Amino acid sequence: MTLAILQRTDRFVSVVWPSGLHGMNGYLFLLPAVALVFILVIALGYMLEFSLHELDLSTYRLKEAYSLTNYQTILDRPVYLRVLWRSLLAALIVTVITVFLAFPYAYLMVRTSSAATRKFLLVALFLPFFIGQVVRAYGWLIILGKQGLLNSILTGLGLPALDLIYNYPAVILGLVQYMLPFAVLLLTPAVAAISEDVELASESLGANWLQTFRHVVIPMATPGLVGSSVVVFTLTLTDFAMPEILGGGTSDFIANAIYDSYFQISNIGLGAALAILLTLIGSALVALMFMIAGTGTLAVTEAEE
Amino acid sequence: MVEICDVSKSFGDFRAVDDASLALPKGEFLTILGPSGCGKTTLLRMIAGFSKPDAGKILINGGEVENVPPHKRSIGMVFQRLALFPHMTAAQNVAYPLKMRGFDTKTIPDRVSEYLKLVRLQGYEERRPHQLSGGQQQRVAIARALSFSPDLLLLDEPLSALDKKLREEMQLEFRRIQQELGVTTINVTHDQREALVMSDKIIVMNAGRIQQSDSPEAVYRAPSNRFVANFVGLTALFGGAIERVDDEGVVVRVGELALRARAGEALTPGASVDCAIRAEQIRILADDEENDTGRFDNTVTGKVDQRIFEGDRMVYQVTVPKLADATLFVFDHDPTHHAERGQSGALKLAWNARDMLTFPTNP
Ligand SMILES: Nc1ncnc2c1ncn2[C@@H]1O[C@H](COP(=O)(O)OP(=O)(O)OP(=O)(O)O)[C@@H](O)[C@H]1O
Ligand SMILES: [Mg+2]
Repeated sequence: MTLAILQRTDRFVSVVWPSGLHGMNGYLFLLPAVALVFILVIALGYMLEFSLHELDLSTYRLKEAYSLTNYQTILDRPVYLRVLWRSLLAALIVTVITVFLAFPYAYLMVRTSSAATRKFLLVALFLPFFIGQVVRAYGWLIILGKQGLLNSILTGLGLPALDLIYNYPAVILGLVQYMLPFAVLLLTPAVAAISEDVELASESLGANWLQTFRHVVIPMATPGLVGSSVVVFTLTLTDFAMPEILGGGTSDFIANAIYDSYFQISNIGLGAALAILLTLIGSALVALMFMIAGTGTLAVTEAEE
Repeated sequence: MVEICDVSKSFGDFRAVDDASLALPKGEFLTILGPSGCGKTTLLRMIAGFSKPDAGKILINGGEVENVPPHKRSIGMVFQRLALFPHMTAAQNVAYPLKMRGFDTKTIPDRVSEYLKLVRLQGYEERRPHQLSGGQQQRVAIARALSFSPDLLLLDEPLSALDKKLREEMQLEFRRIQQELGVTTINVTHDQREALVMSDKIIVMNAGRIQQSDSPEAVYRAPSNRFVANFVGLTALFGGAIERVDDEGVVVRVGELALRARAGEALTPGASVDCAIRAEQIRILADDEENDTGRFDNTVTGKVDQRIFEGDRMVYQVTVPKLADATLFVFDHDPTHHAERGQSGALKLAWNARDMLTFPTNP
């Protein structure tokens, strides 16, 4: 019975995937990924199409005629430029702070000789992954809110309560905390690829630890640094939850603006134009980062020995 | 120049280096020889300053270096896995110590090409390590370790990854460079040939302890204990007991036979000893050849168990029933006999008392 099924399956497979194609078996596994990317590209195409039609305020539908009105609107309205600038600045600040904090973490995790320390750092790294972004944002509300933990400590000490939430720094703080594990995770293999002997060699050749860090560790970790910077930068640039929850409307990012155009003012065309703009700017900046850091940075690191 | 006094180092309960002492005069080439895991790298790392001894002192140029960090010691090191900087060219690798040690920037290019020339790598200045062959990378590592004229050069088995031919070529190359510059050098290896070829002095190590510290000839000809005798050269070892001591040496009883051996320690009759005899000291007698002339002190007859062809010679592994089935190794350099001796199976062997050593058996 099962044998018959197996044989029939075999026959079926040999028809749709003849043995002549078996050399390409490996590529079969790429199909889902390719399909996903393909769908994304189609969606992007639709977005582009939407963005080129103005909203007809009388019918609340997009006009037939093509126009650049939506893009013009974005450029004309200072609020959108401010949102754009705010998102870019946040992406930059968060990237710098996060990578700056993540590097020592990754370095210590790789180099520590104490198994207990390594285990602790690993657990501390993976724990936040089990807690979603929204939950973490609410966690910050509990700590930083008007009647939050910090403020009750302050008032308990007889000090005035502070406005710690619903502002830009709070959003940045939340984002850094959210991005840190990603950055560490991306940096760890890069640091682990640097053999300790290379650092010792540098020291015995006359470099102190700072010089070793600057001339050996950092250059050798560049692929990891670029990779994690790109990821943190794009994730921050496109973030929605942190500015929404911790910004409370004061610190909207592009994603929040897109959300608003779709669901608050129902202007699909404008939202699509913002999304296209976000994609363009993001891609351009990522390309720029790769260009500055040299080609092939994400490629497998050149053989060390 | 370098002095190590009673240095020990443990990892947890494990003694990686146990009470090691050595002294090395300026300009000499010392090799630390020992099997894998015997603590060679651990000792070298302490000299370089990467780790601190648990006990004992290390003196370089007469000064204690316990609190001198690696970058303040004048030591060039070539690592077991080379540790070249992959993001720098050969020339940049060699220039690195010069920049870090504050050499006059105007002299750096000249120095770099001088040392690349010393290791015969002119024309490869702009190559990255991964664009060089194993031997060329080796040379870059040497040039980098030497370019700043260190007081001391440490080599941690830098040749072990190379193929035999290249390794032997590089051994001579290292020796040439070392003699040209007169730099004091400590080399570490588990390759006895390398140690014998390159060194002024050899220290044999086992399980963290120094076994013997001597010239290459002395280490080879007069091993101080069973371990050294076994580790250096192809040596047969078998147990016996001292039967009698006389003017000419000692007589050892092994199985049914009494063998004459060179006088050693533990000469009280009845003491049990390990006998050691090197393959090249044993002669093969022709079947009809008798030892009646008394040319040899010891003769035995054995059975060939195994023949190992090494190109220029055949190695026979011979079991001798009358020596309590002891196994001897013999070289046969005469190809005309190879076929016939393998067939017949029986071999008559002979050697002299001065070539057979005895060591007190460890209780
Ligand atoms: N950091 C460490 N922690 C624990 N044990 C260590 C450490 N470093 C070395 N050892 C142990 O100490 C012993 C000596 O190591 P070492 O590296 O000095 O050997 P070696 O003589 O250089 O061997 P090889 O010829 O294989 O390089 C080994 O048994 C090793 O397992
Ligand atoms: Mg070693």
